[in-house]
Amino acid sequence: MSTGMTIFLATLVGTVSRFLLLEVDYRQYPSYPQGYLVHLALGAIAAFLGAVAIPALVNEDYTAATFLALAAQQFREVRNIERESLTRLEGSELVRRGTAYIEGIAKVFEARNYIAMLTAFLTSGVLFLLETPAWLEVLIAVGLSALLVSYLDRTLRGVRVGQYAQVEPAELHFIGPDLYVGDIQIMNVGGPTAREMILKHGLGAILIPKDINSRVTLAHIGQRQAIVHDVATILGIRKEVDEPEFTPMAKIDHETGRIGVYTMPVNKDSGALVTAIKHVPLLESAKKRPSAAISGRLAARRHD
Amino acid sequence: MKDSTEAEIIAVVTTRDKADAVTGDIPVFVAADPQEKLAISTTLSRTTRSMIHELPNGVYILIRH
Repeated sequence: MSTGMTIFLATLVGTVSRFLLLEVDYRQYPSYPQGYLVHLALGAIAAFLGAVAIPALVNEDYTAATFLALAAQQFREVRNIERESLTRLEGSELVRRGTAYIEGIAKVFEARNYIAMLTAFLTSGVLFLLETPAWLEVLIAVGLSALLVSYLDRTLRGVRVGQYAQVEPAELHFIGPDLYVGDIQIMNVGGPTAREMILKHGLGAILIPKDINSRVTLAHIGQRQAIVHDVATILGIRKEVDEPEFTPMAKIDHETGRIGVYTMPVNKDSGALVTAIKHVPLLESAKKRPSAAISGRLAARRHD
Repeated sequence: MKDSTEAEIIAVVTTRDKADAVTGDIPVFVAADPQEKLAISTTLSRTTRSMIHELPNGVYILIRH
C-alpha cells in the first residue's frame, strides 16, 4: 500500500474514532452544531499527526516525529480553550458548574484528541508494517482500532456517584428558620414566603457514602457543586437570579459523612432526583483514596 | 454553594423593639411591625440579590453569598 494511502486511511480511522466519542448528552456539551464541528476538525488534525508518525520514521525523516511534541502542545491548548470558554459561561448559569467540573470536562476533550491520534497511529502502523494483502491489512487495522477505542472509552468513562454512595429521597422540613433535609441542616431561610415555596416545590435526597474513600471523595466541594449543577440541569430549576434561597445545595453531615441535597425542580419527582444524582460523573480531581495509606485505614476503622 | 466561602452582610432589617440590638457600620432598616419587616426585607433581597436570614432574636439580615 502506498504511503499516501496509508496516511489517508489512518487519518480517516482516527477521525471516525473521534466522531464516535463525540456525543451530545444532557449537558448539551459540546454544543451542536458549531462546537461539534470544532472538535471534529481538531480530531482530524490529531489523527493526521498520528498517521504520519510511522511512515516518517520508516523513511528516516526523524524531524517529522518532533511534530508529535508540537501536537501535544496543541492539545493542551484544547484543554485551555475548553476551560476558558466554560469559565466565561459560568456567569450565565443559574447554578454554576464549579471549577472542578470544568476542569474535568476540559481534560476529557484533551484526552479524546489523544485517542484520535492513537488510533491513527495504530492504523498507520498496521498498514505500513504488515506485508499482507491490502484488504486484510485494512481489516486488521480497523478491528484493532475499534478494540482500542471501545477499551479506552470504557476505562476513561469513569465512575458515577451511584457507585460511591447509596442515594435515598428525603423529606424537607424547617426547624425555626433552618431548612433540613432529613436530619441534615442545609441553611437558614429568613422569609416565610420563601419557606412556603420551598416546602411546596422543593425536593431533598440523602447520599450515604459506601466507605471511607467515597466519604472523603463526596465531601469535595467541587464534587458537590457538580451534583447540584447536574440536578438543576436535568430536573430544571425554579429560581431567578434575585432568589438566592432557591439555589440548590449539597451539605455534609460531618458525624456520618452523609450528604443532604436540596433543590427546587420544575417537576417534583423524587425518583428522578435520585436517578439524576446517581448518574452524576465522579470528578477525577475529587477522587481520593485514603484507604491506600495505613494511617487512612486506621482512621477508617473508627467509622465502620 | 460556590467554591469560595465569602459572604457579605448587605443590610439589617428589624422592628423598633429590637433596633438597639444592632450596632455597627451596616445599613439598618427599622420597620413598624413584623409585616413591614418582611416586606422591606423581601424588596431589599430582590434588589440587592441577597438572601434573607433570620437571627434567633427575630432580626433579619441580608447576606450576599
